[in-house]
Amino acid sequence: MTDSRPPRVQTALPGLVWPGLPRRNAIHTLALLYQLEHSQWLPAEDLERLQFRQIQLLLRHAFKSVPYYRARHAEWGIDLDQTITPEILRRHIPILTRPEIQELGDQLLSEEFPKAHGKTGEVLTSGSTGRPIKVVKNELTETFWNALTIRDHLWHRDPNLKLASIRPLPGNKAPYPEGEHFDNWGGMLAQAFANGPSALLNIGTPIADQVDWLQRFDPDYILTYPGNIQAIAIHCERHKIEFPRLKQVHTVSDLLRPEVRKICRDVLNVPVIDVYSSAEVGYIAMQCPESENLHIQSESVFVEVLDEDGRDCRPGEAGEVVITPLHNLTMPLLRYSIGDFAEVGSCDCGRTLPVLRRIMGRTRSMVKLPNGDEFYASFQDLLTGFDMIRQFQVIRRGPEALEMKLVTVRELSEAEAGNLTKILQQRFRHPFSVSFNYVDEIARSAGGKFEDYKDESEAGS
Amino acid sequence: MRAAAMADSVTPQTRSALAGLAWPGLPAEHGARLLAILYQLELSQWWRPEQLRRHQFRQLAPLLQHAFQHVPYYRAQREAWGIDAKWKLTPESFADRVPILTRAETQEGGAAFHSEAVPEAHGKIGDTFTSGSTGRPLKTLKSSLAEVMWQAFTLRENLWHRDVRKKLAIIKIVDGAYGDYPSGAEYNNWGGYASQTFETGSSCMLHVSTKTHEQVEWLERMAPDYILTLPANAQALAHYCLEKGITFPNLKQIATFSDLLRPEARAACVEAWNVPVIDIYSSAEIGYIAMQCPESENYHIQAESAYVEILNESGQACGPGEIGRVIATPLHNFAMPLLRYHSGDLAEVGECDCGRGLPTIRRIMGRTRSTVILPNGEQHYPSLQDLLINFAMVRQFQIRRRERDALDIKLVVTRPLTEGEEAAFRAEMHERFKHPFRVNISYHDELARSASGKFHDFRDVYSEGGSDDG
Repeated sequence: MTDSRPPRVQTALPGLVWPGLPRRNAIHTLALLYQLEHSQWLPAEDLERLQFRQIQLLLRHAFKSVPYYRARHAEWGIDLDQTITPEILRRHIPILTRPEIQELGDQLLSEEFPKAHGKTGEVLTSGSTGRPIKVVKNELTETFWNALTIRDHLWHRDPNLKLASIRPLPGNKAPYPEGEHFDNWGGMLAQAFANGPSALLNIGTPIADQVDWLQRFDPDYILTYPGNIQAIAIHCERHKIEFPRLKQVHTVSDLLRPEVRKICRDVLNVPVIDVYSSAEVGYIAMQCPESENLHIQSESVFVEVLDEDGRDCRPGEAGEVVITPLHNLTMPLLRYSIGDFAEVGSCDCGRTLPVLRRIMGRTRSMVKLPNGDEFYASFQDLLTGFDMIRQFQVIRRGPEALEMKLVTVRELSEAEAGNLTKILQQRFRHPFSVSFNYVDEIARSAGGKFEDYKDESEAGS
Repeated sequence: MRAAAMADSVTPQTRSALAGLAWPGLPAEHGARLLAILYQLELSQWWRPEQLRRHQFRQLAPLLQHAFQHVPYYRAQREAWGIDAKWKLTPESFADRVPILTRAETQEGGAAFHSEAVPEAHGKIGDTFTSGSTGRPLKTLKSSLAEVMWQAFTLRENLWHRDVRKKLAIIKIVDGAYGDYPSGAEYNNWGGYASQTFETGSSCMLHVSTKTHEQVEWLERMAPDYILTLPANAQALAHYCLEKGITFPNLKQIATFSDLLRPEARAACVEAWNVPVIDIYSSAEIGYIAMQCPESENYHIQAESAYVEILNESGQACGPGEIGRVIATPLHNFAMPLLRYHSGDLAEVGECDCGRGLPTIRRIMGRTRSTVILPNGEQHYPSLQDLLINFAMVRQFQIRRRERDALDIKLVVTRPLTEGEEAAFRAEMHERFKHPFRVNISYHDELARSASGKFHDFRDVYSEGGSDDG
């Protein structure tokens, strides 16, 4: 780490400030960070050997305690006493799709997993394809998530500076004009390291107000969704607004399109640092500290990028992203196809973590209301309570009209349709007319991405 | 690019205490704490010297506050040193107001250096009793926290220089009889805390007073990859093996600690076994002072553990190439804070191009001890570390063998030994030297150092065939 101010570890011991010893959970995080510090430089074959040490344990556990896998053990014919390699894994374990996860439900849950992995928690995610799935995780996967969050910060940011986050938040949390202010960056980072201040704003805030808020907070870093920073940058360009202190934009959750990097560089005069993660598997890849490549987080996930014949893509080739999270013994997902496509790359930074050059997943856009307000609609939990819906796409057909394309197992009842219309009107903050259109499939856009919201009411959108 | 600059020769596998978790591992509480410290050491070794110093002084501040409040010796001096509420701690003000503390003063002060109230979170207090580098025994109190730090630095030293999955043989002073020849002691790991943190290979241990030829026989049986021992013992082993043409097929490296490593000892190990020697500079009262650089024969001061000054005669910091007194302030031992402590060692300041910001020592000039060659030709390393435990009236000793069957022993005492005590002392000598030497005891007001400033607590002048210069 070459920053002028190295990160300072917190300490919970009186009289001890350096080296620091923080609280128990943070100590575990630092113990993981120590290993991550090393593993990023390991020879590729060592990295794979260690990864498969963990996968071996994961497989033994899955075939013993998870009904779905146990029932297929004989059929798949995988010998768990032999040393598992990527080839063996591929030969014996079929790809698991989102619809299968939906169908299987609790069949994928372990009947007995180590107590030390802690309490479990459910995440419900619409993921990249608009189909919601339920994934159960535990405190250990959370510990890994925390350690990797810190890795991302330390790869890219000085945590002593100011961070502004603009994110989807439940209800009216962190509303304009103040948002919420904190004297640290929150989470495990704050427990493990000394921090600068941070502030949080609800992403539902109209763009002009977001910009006003940012000008008042004057952050070094902005963390938000790609579509949101794009709208902020467009606003700043039109109104000639600058953020003199700003050093970097950090985008999360959605696909980062090249035009977003470009406008941030052109208008905000800062680089964009992207991260590729998902609620169901955690961190998948993080941007290289020295380039725009993304490094696969091999310490947490085994990632395959496969061509149409199921073979590994080589640098320059794009394929289906298939993920095996290494540490979720509560709900083991083996060779899970997340629904994204990615192009394999290579990197000269010296890190041996495999490289994705770009992700081609879903994308979402800003909603512009008839009164001129703009905001970023969140669909993450839109389908809660609508189990019959497999997939959706919202299309803006006119200034006052929304069309919702639906892939369903059955049609909605009148009451359900009325309910969903109300929910959409709330989400879109306007009494749009809503029509439902039942389709067999929802096509990807020309760029190969799923879009859960498309504005077809204006030319060029 | 950091890859080239990674410290550790081989990345160790963390010991995981969690079922179903192999990699990355999460060790049990103590191991996790050590990894949390190692993580910080991994980063801080590359900091710039001024960054390191800033953090050292962050740690020094609470240590000083504690010392002036809870340690009688410092509390009594505080006013005389002009340290009041307005005093601001800087490297300059620290050197200006806090005088250098000698080993003798520490010894005289005794319990006045012991803290009356160590923070509870620093854990239990243990003590060690050492003869140190000048032949005078010193009782050192150490908190569990200081011990945890010691362990973390021990791991750093191992990771800098060794693959911990291999086999380690330790030949040192062993309390009790379990390290006695012919079996020694065998373990399936590198010791408690190391194996709680990492997956390690096996290790074995032998008492250093074992005769040289028996040590060699034991080493042939144990077939270690690394031997950790005292420099004089390594040299004796090398000479013996060279003479007999004995090599150890697995041996990759000799590691030395405790005493001064002389260039002849390095040369002897290379000649006998064609392996490098890695030296460690530490002491019981200070902890780790410096470790050999992973990429050269330089030593890096362990700035995260102790604030070390190397000062010339006028008290100025030495530059590269200059030799000065080693003044150390251990940063974490609140049980017995030693501020600007001078153990008696001298060192030459160096420069290193490995990229680490840790200050560099080119060589250390201090403690030295030697082996004895008995009339029957057998050679061994007499252990004198704990010689004075039962002889509290003895402040300092110096032992010379000038004749085939006699030892001359000079003592500095608070009172002469009684006849019974002298007999016990003679018996102690016979046991430690493994020969019924005639023991001549004489009493002195002080003991001279050699012209080079080194203090030899024992020399076998008879076998060396040379003159006794100190």
